[in-house]
Amino acid sequence: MNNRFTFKDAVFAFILILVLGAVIWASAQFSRQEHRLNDVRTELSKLNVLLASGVRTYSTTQAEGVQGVKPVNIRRKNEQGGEYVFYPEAPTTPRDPHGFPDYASGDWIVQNLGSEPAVVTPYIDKDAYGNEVQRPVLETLITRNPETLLYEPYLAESYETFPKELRYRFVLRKNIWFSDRTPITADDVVFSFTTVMTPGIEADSLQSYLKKIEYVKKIDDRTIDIKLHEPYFQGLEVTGQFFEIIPQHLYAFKDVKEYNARTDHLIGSGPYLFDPKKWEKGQQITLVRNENYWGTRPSFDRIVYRFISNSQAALQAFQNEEIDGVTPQPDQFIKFSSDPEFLKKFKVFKYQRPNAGYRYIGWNLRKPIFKDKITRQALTMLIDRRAIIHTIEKDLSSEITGPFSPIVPQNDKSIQPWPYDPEGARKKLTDAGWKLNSNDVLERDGVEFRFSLMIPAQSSNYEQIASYVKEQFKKVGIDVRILPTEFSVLVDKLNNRDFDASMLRWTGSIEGDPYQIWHSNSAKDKGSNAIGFANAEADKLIEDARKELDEEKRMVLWHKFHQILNEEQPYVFLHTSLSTSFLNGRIKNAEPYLVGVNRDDWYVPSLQQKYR
Amino acid sequence: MFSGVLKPVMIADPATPALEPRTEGVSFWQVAGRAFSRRWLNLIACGHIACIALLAVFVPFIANGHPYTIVYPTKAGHVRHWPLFATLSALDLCLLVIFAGAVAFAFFYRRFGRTIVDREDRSAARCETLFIIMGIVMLISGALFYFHGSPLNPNDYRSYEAMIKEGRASGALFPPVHWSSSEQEPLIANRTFEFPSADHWLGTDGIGRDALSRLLWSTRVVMGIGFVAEAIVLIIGITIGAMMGYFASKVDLLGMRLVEIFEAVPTFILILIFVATYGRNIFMIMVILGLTGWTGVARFTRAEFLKLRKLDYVHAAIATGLPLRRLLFRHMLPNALTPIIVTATFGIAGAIMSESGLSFLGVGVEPPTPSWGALLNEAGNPAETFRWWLAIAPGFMIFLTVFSYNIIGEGLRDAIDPRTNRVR
Amino acid sequence: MLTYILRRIFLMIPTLIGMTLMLFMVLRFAPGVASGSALSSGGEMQSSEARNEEIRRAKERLGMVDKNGAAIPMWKQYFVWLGKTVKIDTYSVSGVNIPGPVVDLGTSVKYRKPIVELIKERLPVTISINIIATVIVYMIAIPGGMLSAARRGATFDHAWSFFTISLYSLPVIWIGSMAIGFLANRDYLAWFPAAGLHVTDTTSHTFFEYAMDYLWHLALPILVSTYGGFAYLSKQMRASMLDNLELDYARTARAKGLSGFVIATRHVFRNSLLPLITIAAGIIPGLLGGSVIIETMFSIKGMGELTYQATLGRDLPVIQATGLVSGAIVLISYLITDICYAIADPRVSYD
Repeated sequence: MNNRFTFKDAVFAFILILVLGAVIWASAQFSRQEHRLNDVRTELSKLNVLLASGVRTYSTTQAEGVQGVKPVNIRRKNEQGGEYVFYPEAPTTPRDPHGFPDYASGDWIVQNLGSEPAVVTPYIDKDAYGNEVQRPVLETLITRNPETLLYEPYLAESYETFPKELRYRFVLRKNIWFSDRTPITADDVVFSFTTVMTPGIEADSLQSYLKKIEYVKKIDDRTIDIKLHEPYFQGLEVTGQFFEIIPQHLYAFKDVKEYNARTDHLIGSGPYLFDPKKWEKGQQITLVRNENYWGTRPSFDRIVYRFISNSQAALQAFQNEEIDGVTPQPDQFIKFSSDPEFLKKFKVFKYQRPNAGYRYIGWNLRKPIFKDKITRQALTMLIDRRAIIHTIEKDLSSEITGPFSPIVPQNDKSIQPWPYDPEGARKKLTDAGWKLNSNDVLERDGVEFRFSLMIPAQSSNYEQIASYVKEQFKKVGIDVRILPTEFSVLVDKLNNRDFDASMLRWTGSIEGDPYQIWHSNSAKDKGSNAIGFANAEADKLIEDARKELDEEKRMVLWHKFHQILNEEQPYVFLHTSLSTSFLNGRIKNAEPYLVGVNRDDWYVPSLQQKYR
Repeated sequence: MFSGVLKPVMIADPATPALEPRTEGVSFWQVAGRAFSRRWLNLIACGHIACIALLAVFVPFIANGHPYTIVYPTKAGHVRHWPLFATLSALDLCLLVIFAGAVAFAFFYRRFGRTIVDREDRSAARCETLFIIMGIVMLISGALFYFHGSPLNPNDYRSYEAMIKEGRASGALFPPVHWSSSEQEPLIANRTFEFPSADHWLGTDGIGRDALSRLLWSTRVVMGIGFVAEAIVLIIGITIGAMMGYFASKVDLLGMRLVEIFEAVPTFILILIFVATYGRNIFMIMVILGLTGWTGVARFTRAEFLKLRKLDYVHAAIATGLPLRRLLFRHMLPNALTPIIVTATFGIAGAIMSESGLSFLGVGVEPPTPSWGALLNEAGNPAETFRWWLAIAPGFMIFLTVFSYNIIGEGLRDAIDPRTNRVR
Repeated sequence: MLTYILRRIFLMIPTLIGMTLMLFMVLRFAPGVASGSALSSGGEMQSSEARNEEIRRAKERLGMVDKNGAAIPMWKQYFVWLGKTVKIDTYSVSGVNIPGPVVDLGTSVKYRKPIVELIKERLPVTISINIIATVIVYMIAIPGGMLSAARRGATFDHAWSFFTISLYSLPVIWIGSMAIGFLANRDYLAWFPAAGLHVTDTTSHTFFEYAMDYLWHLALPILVSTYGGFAYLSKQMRASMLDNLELDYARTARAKGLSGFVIATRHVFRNSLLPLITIAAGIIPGLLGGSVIIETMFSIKGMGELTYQATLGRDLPVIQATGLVSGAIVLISYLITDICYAIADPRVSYD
């Protein structure tokens, strides 16, 4: 009885073990701290040595040349009516900060990618996130000036267009190289193109655009000729900017499947380097500055991309200054953009990008209820788009009249949006032959005006707009059923033309090609013209404009096309979103351009730098 | 079949004196019922469920944008209209018919209890009345759905209000909550996410709909899904469980594999896939919840039937050549009912919770149909702008309803369990 | 006993085949499977040929069509998948090659990672939440059940039963929303973080800080997962204690004059625990499935969230793999429950 090991003894022994374990663990932690302190001490002494030797903390750009003489750029027309553009030095950003008095290189910029990219290998990236990681690492032959929107030769020192031969000639710069100091040659350009066009490579959308290219030929070590099959208004963009230049000696492959399987093979000529070891899965990707970069040295030592998909967690991380930039949700933007405490520490931007895209309701034109344009115009007049922007979108969108962004030249600014006029809409519906039947529903030729509206599921914005549309239509006698559908199923239904009406978004661009959405050829099979818009005049305008290389004449054609769309109302063009972003206050020179923010402009003065 | 109703039965006749006092024994269900009613908590829970059920049936008369009556001046004098009654949908009328049927059945139930003395005849009469009433109800419902078009009602409270203000109508009497579940305040007025006010007693949601009205209309979805999903569970579970329990051997082996398959499948994946394939129709959700939840009932039924098949009366019934279906469902099943009823009650609570969870995640009923889970979803992201007044009411209603069902289930279990009764 | 176990394991195989086959067929018939949206953004404007090519490639990768685009019949697809997933291969154990079943769960379409890696990342999260929650539930429910049994019929019994049932009836979506809304929202009290598992910059944290931060993030999800479990466990404990208290040995102890507390804790307690141990084995299925609602509300990347996102995005390999794994675990846990039951109670015999 006395020697029995009771419950109390067990508890006592357990506590003893715990205490012992805690003591051991605490001493381990102390020794770890000692190590850390030693590391800090050595760093400090190194810094002291550096300061004592008077090292400059910023470096000059490559393009200094003779003191005080700025290089002269040439832009002129040639005999064929094409352009010849020659920039002896690589163009820098319009607001180049390198000359600013408080400019300092250094610090890291920590940004938030909404989600971890699956693939960052060039061409086969699957989503916008992979693309974002590629941008500081890869470069293209030409770039667009963010202020003037003109194309400028970047990797190329000159480009020349020959409209009559459908040919574009690029001459590469002399002193450019990849991150391992291998010079960039015409072979690399040809290799890049043939890689994209290899059958079986998983770059379908890119291929469908580059299919327009007939050949890419090397003329000599620095000169490349690219010829198109037929005249295309985006020819310069397709040939010079659509595919990035990758090093042949590092990317060569024997089997397409092997290339498709690479997820983290990313090497280029850009200002930053990608190291697969620095991709902490689930956490972040770090890009390190390319010390061998041939061009203007960028400000930041590192770019860190974190993957925080939950918008609320991202905002919290931003407020804790763990990340430097975040794209806020509309609610968050409204709450903080007027908060004086917030504005003291952070910058707030709201701007309209031309490629912001737009939201629309598309009517399946094959259904008899949507067949005539008077009905469709009436439907547009029943929706108060301004009220939607004000109440549901909280003024973070702007009104549109067609598929083009209101700030690009492709948009015909003279077109007025259809007014919100329920009485006028009622009259139009009566004109179109609709009559109220005993069920209080509009009827025409024995068919009641009932349809289902497909929206992406789990998005409260779409649901709210759809509920509003349903109520508005109910007042005149149209019965709408809302179908929230999962995105993959929605895409399926659109492909199979199995819908009545659908609300969705398209992304945009500075000058977009409407062929895929609006040409009658795209209405066949599984093309993107899901509603079946087929207007012969619009078809001709699209075809002509695509071939028209003179910009002014082309805009006239686009404007005519825009007017047809406005008249026919195959979509209800709801609105285009404004872009918003929050940025950490220590980053200078960050005001957005027309096309968005340009990270090349940013820098942090040395006193405010956070990371070393 | 109509023996109880048409054949003359013995009624207590005061003229013939009884030879000996007839004492009626108490049935098992009466004992259980009395034990159940002794705890006041059980009765309160029953009362709550009854309230919700009544709400579900009568909500068009309580929360509606149309007035009971309104007077329009016409050339021929003033005409009185009854918009609320004119705009009742087929479903509203069906539910009223079902309610009337239930009331009628309850009436006949008690009447037979008083007039027919013989117990067998009494239960036969009750069963037949049940079938007759169910038949009539189904006929009327079918006719209603077939002939009643689905009219669109373009008027709502704001339009009536405008008409009265302009003098085009008068003498309107509105229901206590004068908003329908889908009417939105004019978007340009931006009366969204309002705090409770005199106009909207529980405030408005993200597009200006009245929160209280949506709360009341959700009772339909919730009760409907609870009952129908559980009914499907019972039908499938009892059938399969009875067959397994009765036949044993090979049928049991195969049946248990089937039960294990359905238990092993992650229910949530199945529900999501079904919802994606067949759409978010309310009936499909009921069917899916039924299809994924029958295994528990099947196990209990099987256990009971395994016990019952060894009893003497079953052997006797087989020896006398009773057809299988009658044996299973009229003789064995009533004795196996005890755990099934308890499981069914808990099952309804579970179905309501599942449906709320699905609606909350955004894969439940189609908008704008309100359901308490969907209302919780509409209250907004709780981590950012949290409109707590929109989240308290629906959550509390889910809690009360599920809690009531759980209390009833526990109460039934205690009432039926012989051990608890014995000690008491 | 051994034959019983072997028989059960043998019977598991047709169940697993049946379950995976049912899941397989349901998935193949569901719409949106090969719209290509799992591979690309899906909403891009594309020419018809590009889209057809994408769809064809998606179907080929999923095994629905062969190289030439001809459709493969469903049963063949299933057996190909089964063959790839469960292979008989050789293990080498200290130099000796032993043939045994090898399970290859495949690669996720969305994340492009082997599914085993995905599960390795996410399972610890789900398990940590569920295990901590289970421990807390046991620690509270067992004393509660014991006290209920001791004061049977008295106020405490009724009150405890009422309390636990009402906790069980509180919907997780409501409590979770209110918890986040009031406790994790900067407008009210911001005691807890609202989402995720880590403060984002953890590279410079010591292990202690890391662990504390992890627990701080887990606090709300654990709170929300715990409260519903008291009712069932407490009732079981009460019932089994009542059963044991009526037995002869307990009455003998009472006759000897031992106090109620001593009887309850020293004699009856251990015997009453047996059913609860077998219930513990039933918790294992929940460990793998996780709770989709809790993980979605708190943006925690656990198993439940993986399954949910995979189902929405039609990531077929992941759905099939998690279905297979969770089905196997459910069946195995039933077997373990039955074995524990047999071990704990010598009166139970399966032979």
